[in-house]
Amino acid sequence: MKKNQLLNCMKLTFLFLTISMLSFTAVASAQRVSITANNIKIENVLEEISQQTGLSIAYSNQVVDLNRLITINVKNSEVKNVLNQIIEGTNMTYEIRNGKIYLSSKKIEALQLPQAGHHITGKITDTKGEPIIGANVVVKGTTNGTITDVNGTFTLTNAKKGDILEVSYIGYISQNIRLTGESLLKIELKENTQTLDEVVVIGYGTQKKRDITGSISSVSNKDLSIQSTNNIQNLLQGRLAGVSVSTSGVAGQAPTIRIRGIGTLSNNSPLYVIDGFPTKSEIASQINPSNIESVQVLKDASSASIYGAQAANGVILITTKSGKKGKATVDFKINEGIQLPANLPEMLNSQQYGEVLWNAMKNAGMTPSHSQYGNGTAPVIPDYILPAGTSASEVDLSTYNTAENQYMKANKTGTKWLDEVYRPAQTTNVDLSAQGGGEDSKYFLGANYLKQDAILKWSGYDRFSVRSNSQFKILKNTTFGANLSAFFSKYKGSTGDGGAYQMAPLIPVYDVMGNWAGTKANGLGDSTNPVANLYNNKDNYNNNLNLLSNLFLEVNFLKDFTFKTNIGINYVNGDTKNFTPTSYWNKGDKNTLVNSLNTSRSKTSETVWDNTLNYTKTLFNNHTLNILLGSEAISQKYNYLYASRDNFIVEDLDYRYLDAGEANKDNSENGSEYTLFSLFGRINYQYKNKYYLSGILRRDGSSRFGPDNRYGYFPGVSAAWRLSEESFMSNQKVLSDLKLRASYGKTGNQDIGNYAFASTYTVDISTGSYPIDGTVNNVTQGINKESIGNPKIKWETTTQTNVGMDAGFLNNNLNLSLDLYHKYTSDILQRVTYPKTGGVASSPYENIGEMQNNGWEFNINYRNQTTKDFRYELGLILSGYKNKVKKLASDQFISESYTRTEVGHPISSFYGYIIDGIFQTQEEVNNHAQQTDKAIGRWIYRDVNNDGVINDDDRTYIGNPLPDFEYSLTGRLYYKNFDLSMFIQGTYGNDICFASKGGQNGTDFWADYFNKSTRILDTWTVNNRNAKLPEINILNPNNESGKVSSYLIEDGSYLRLKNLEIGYTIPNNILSKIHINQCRVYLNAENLFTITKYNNIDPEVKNGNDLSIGVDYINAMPLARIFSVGFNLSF
Amino acid sequence: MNNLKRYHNKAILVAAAIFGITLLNGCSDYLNKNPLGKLNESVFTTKDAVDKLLISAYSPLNGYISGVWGISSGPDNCFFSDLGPGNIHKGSTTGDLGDLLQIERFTETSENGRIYDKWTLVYGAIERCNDVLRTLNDNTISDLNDADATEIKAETRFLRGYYHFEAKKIWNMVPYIDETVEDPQRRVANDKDIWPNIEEDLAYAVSNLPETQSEPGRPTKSAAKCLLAKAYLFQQKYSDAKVLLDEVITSGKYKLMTNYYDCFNPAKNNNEEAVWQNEVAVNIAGASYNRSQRCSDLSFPNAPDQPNLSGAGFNQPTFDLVNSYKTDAQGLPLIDSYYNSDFKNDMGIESNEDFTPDMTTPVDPRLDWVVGRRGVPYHDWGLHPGKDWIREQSTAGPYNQKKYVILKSQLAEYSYNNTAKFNSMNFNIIRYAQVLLWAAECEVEVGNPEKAREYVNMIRTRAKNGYYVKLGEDAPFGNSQLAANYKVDIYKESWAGKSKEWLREHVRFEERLELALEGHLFFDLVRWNIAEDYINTYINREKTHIQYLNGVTFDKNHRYFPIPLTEIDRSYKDGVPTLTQNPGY
Repeated sequence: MKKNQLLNCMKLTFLFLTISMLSFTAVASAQRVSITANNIKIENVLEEISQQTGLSIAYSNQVVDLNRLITINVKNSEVKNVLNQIIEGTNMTYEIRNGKIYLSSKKIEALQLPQAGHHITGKITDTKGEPIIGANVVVKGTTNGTITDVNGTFTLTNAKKGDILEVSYIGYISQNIRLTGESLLKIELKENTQTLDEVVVIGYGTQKKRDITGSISSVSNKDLSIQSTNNIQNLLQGRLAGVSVSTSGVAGQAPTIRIRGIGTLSNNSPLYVIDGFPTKSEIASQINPSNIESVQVLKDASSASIYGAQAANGVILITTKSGKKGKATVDFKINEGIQLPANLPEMLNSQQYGEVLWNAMKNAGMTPSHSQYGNGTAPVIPDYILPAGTSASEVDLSTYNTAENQYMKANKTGTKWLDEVYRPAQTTNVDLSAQGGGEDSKYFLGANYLKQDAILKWSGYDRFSVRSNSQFKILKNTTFGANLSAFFSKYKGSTGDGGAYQMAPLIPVYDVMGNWAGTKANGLGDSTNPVANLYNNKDNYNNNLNLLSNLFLEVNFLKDFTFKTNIGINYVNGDTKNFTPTSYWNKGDKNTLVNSLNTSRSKTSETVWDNTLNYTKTLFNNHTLNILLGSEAISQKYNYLYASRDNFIVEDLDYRYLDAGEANKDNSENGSEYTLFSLFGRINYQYKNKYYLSGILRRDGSSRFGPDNRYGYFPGVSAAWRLSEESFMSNQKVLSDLKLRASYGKTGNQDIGNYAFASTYTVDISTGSYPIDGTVNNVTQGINKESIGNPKIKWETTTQTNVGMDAGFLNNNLNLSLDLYHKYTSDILQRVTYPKTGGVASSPYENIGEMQNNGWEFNINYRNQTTKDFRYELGLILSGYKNKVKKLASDQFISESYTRTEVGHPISSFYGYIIDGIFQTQEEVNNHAQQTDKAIGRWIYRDVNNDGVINDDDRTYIGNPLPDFEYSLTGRLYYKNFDLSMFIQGTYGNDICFASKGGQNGTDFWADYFNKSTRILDTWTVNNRNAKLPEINILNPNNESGKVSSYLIEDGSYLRLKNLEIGYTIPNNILSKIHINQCRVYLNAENLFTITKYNNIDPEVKNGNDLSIGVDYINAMPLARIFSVGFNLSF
Repeated sequence: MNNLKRYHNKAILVAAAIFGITLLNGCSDYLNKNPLGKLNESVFTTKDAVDKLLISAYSPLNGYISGVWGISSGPDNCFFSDLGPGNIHKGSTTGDLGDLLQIERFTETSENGRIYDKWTLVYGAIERCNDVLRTLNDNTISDLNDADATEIKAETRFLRGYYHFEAKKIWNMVPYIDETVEDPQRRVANDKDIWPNIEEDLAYAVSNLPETQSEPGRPTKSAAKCLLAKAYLFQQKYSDAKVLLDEVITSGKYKLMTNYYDCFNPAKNNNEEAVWQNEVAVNIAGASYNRSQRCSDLSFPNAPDQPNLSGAGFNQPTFDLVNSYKTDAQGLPLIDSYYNSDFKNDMGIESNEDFTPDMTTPVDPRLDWVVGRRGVPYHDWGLHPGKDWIREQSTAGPYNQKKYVILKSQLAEYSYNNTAKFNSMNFNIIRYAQVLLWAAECEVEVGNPEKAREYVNMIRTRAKNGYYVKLGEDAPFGNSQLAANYKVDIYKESWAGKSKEWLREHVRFEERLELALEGHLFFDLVRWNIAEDYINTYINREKTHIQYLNGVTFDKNHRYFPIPLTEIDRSYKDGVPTLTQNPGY
């Protein structure tokens, strides 16, 4: 009996990683359970059974009285015995089938004969055709209803054509069916995977969704798998209320994610926790999305405070798939797509370019002339730009020589350089995985290959990844598991357009002999041929090897205790090589006479060891208590090595190794390390599934702070009340679930680099050496201050209050949730931007400010199945916040090129001059305040301070980059075997500073021979008085191009059809013959269209610097429109 | 089953042990992590280490410090001194580097990035000087005796005085920052005249620097005297300046080099004429780095057929400068008439069209060491081909700068990667020729015109006796025909009895001829209080050639440059900016 005693100890334990909503295929009779409890609710017993056996339980709550109390005492007993005890003395019966326990009423075994009058019969099955027993069938708006029998059939009297039948069953999506006169209905119910019983990961543990007291957004595998995309953050865009994602056009580059606004001034990146491994590195974007089981985002301070010092910007928990019990299933997915560059801007052609130049010079009082366009009254496009003035008869190809006598024809219509550098590009994504498990082990194995060519020529991204997740029950009370993964990625080629915007249209891509043409001819600027640049870069690469693994051991003991230890390692090895060949096609000082190679290696290793002890106990039947205690030690090391050489006698790939270079050997190395040690605890308490209370405390010690301020404490408390469990709510049917939540907590931020507390001095030849001894090839090395430390800095703390509501209507077919939050960050850590009088060493971090975000999030989902063949789901997410800087040391504001961050204003507000149109008459000119170069045709700058002079003091706030709200709309339609999903996303009310319009080389002002946007054709002339731009003038009067002004500010609101997918699932009856379980084929389109007033390529501006949010520079990789086709196979 | 139970107990024990170990772990040195591969204050306890800190204060002399481009921040000050008042045009193409066009047209605004670069360099360097002084005050330096400490301090204060001087002459109202400023951001108001502070630093240097230095980069007592004298000159304290300049001149420490060209030859760095130079080095052993003069990156002719020579084609000498080298039959400058006709040039002529340079009009031979022009050997790089080496002759004129170009034959030894613009020619921050001319200025003011003539004649004698540019195979130093009718001679007539105005005009004209493109003209015009007349007159003459000068006028406010807007924005303290913008901006 010792064995039984031991097993007795193990009753009702927590299985953190149980994923109860997966369908199990195990044979039920083998399941054994142990339960000992006095006066326990049926509901709780069923829950225990479900947990211990993995069987899910289906019932109609009309049949089963969940609140009935029983006393039960079984040890390692078959499920049947327990179930028999439960139904003893009731009119219930049960059946175990397909991994489910069906509870139903005995009385329906003897179905009453239909009475006289109208009656209909029907059969209700699940998607596999198995009958559903005990489902509710009610004529809408009446009490006329019944439940299905053991065969899933029902008969209903007094139902007529036009009536609506409501069919509902716990664990399945309810349906409303309009009667059409058919007498024999066939109704298929879909399993509801989004029930409140869904388990979500909450940090060092899991919790049922319905028990959550904080604000946590969740995306499960089901949502992730329907669409094809290559990284997890792209998938998160618009899926989660309060989570803003701006993606980079460059494959493999991590997008910027902001959770609940901009909480601080310097680093707003969230913490990622991947299978329990916390990291701030951007590895999440490397993870293969199809290996992901679920993603949770901890948004409010009470849920995030379990991660304490790292959690102020929110926490994204990523759980990868683990195996399922049952026979092995293999999934194979393939996706093939094409990306098309979208929305490329229009640039001037050769003729326009010449005319604009002519006007720019004429208006400056100069006689137009240009080395290529001549010096006539109008510009004349030459035949040859090199040698200048050559006529066709003078071309003697025998004298052709790239170095001295290159023949280059002018492109009379104009080279469209953007079209030359961008191209349609292919993507391929192949994914293979297998999973399965037995009594004591589970496994998931996956491999993925992604090839994503860039829309830039000769550039692209490759990624290969493998994963092995497994769990073994090595003893009855001990589980041992491992998640092992490796990603190898390579970006080859260029990430920018090589200068395509600025290249003059007159220049051809190739000279007459097919060699690269360029700016060798006079008067065409110094830009280098962008196509040649991309070609030169084609073999340059950036490789990354990422090994992310963790092992855990979990021991259950003394009935209620679980101890878990988890060790994780993340190793990232970066490897880049850049070769710059010699070139002959460019002019002037951009001539590259010397080729050079530089190569670098970086390695980052992060290790985490955490230990948790968990205690769970139900006391006096209704009080459930869960206590977690834990410790965590994080350590991170970084090392970077760089070397370069010049003068490679041969440029072939095989020689692009340092040893083959002759001159200027150079190298450097640097390193850093960081440690964090934490202790934490959490208490969850609930009473009768009605009242919830939770408390968290974490203490973090960080090596990033000096000894005096090293430790920080981060508490969190939250409470929830499920009103729907109250008896006064039991008599209504509209509201199926209602929960009110409130929380308060503190989280920290310490992302300030590793040594902000210490001043550092560096030995650097470029910044601190001097040839004091007067020799011409030697320097004396000096030491200069590199950064100023501040030993006094302390934790940045974010305090957040959150109130929320979750409600389910119509049997949870309509769900909505609302959150309101107040987020206040104090002691904001920021490098104070010193004036240069403070020197050029990096200025120190200080706890300089306070900032507030008040926000709201609204989420509504509706799903409905109107007929057997048609169902749909709709989701709308709205969120917004108001940001305000509340305090900033004595500086009062932080000034960046286009923005100012000042107390009383939102962070990164655009700051500059307001333009009130263009002077049309001399009278207007005379009446206006004193303004440099004021004249008819010039911009009127507003005299903001009314002092009669336009100067720096007339700058003011001219735009806000933060939207009033962000929104997304998801729609999913299922008809028979077809499915259609659509995802719309956008922002409203934000401004963008289109910075690259201005500046000395901006696209909208003529300066040097850089090409310009066609917007420059809309400059003021006597015949075009309503122009946006002032009269064109090569002398740039009043530095109009260089002043930050309202001209740069544009409305950034947009609406984008981000994704559209149509899929078809091949019917089972066809597939089963060829031993395939499931096969779905689909067509997908990404970024199909965008509605916006914004003039640049993409209103989704990615700017990692939060003090310059919404500042858009043109050379970002443009948005691609992607069309793809794919199929998913499961067998 | 006992085994299992035992195991079970063991598991608990192991769990408890692990838990305990991790708790203990947190108490150890786990959280003490100091910077890797970086030095901290504690290294500055030896003389050697402090000297290395001092070296880093010299380092910005070439115009480079973190965060600046360097083209406008070097000691040559070409864009602040030679660009506006008529020695050079910006060059390249009209729109290229509009910040510079603003400066040339006197329309610069406080957003001007080139002005901000200079500010950044100057104050970055000053902070490094103060780092040295604070270290000397705060640290115990084991092997440093008082004399050594004083000398380090003297060098440091010399540099601090020099950098403040740069700021003073460019912006006038600037903050003076010393090692006692407590605000870590060094926000100091610019409401005081800082000449007394500059004088104090330089006077300390004069008192405490040695007469000779083993390393030529370090300033000597004489260098400090010259710099202090210069500070006096900027305040019209001529008699004070004269005392110092006389001491330097009578010491016999310096002499003019035989050839004017010797001052611009990397093979003769740190020569006898050099009072204080910015030291530069290229091809530094073991490092892929050159410390050449930053400004010269831009100022080399844009010569596609000579890639080793080619640069961005900025800094094109003006018609006015070239004309000013014309002389009369006696070899004296045409101070009142040089501008009446243009010296022959190839404006508007293609390189493949014929052009013969003027071989008859007498010119000062210094012209062809300063200016590159068509038909004259561009050192040993060949005859200047005219338009082909000019980016946009129609807007910026036909001339190239030549003073800072090294010989082609010097490429291997004195340039980085055989690129002429990255060369190791030191820049003369103070050279003896200028010291003599300053002395001449003083003599004029104190009433010794003949002494002034003597000094001016020393300069002209050297110009006369030195190399003239020659044509032919061994150009420019061979035995063939001269490239022009070179004619320069001394003032033989007595200057006694000449009016002060006449005397000033002649000394100042010589200063322009001798020191063109060396970063002085504009500051000199301002200190002589003649900038408005001089510059507007020049513009009126030059605009017949350079169209973008039409409508340009120079007003008094432009004597000083705008304080960078970013600096004012960042100088706020308790709600008000500590820096005040100069009038007119």
